[in-house]
Amino acid sequence: MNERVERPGRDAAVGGYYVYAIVSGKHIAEARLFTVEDATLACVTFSDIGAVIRAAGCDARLTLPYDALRHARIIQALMREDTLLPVRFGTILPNEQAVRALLAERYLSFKRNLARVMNRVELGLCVLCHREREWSDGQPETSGATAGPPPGTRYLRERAFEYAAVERLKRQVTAQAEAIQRRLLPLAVEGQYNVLTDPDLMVNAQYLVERSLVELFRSEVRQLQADQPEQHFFCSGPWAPYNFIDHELLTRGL
Amino acid sequence: MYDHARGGVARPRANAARRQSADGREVTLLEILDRVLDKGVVLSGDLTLSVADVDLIFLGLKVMLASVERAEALRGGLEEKYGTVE
Repeated sequence: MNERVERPGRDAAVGGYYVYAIVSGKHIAEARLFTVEDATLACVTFSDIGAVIRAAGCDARLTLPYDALRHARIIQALMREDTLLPVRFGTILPNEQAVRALLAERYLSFKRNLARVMNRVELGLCVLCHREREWSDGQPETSGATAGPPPGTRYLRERAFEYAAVERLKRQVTAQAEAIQRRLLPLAVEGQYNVLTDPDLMVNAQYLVERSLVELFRSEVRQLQADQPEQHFFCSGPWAPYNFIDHELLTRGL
Repeated sequence: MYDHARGGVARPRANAARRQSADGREVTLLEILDRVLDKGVVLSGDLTLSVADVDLIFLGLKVMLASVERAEALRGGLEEKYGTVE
């Protein structure tokens, strides 16, 4: 086992080590401290994997959204050069022994997940559509205060109309999402989507794509946009593979 | 802006482009925060966060966020019931 620790700073003992990512490639070979986005980083290693860390020092107290965006920038800079598993914002371990123990304990999980995303990146796709008209389609007309059913019946009838409209819209949007999947999935290794997580957000999808196919994927999204000009297609990324990590690593702390 | 292709002022198209660009920026910011705050490998540990001068605490780096006042109220209740909580 090749275990090597680059000590990131004298004040590490005060605030612990802030962990950014689990890596297995270029950064393992870093012989010294390195700088990314003005942050001095190091790599704590165990066998052929490592954790990219920063001495937290007095920065153990974090501020949103500033520190979250800084965290994102550092992850983005790291992933441009290396395959990595991004670690959740705000993870601070007390010392390098704790970091190494964690790498050792979960070594096989980290290796399996790194293999899954090796040389691949995540791309996001949001399809936006302003749907006030569709949401209101099928609403019963509100009659005057004179004739008509009593208020309780009217309320239940309106709710039934609303429910039917939502279900109709979900079916329609799901069909559209599946059509999009048929165009994009052949260019991706994996893909997943949700529909209508927000009234204007028709489709929110993520794809795991080979680095070499990113431009081709974007080109297909542009073609989708050209085919459906009434909707807005936003392709984001490349991101680290936030959405393509096994469930056990997303939920299980030490 | 003069639209040479249409031979007229392209204000509607420019507005649409601006709106799409603004939407795109919002989408990107939301996507960043969604990923950084809610996704990624969970290891361990606690930390204190601050949002607009309101202290928050992540409990076990999981999904629950609670104010420090609420956390301390919970801690007070536990101490009353079980003695000092470390």
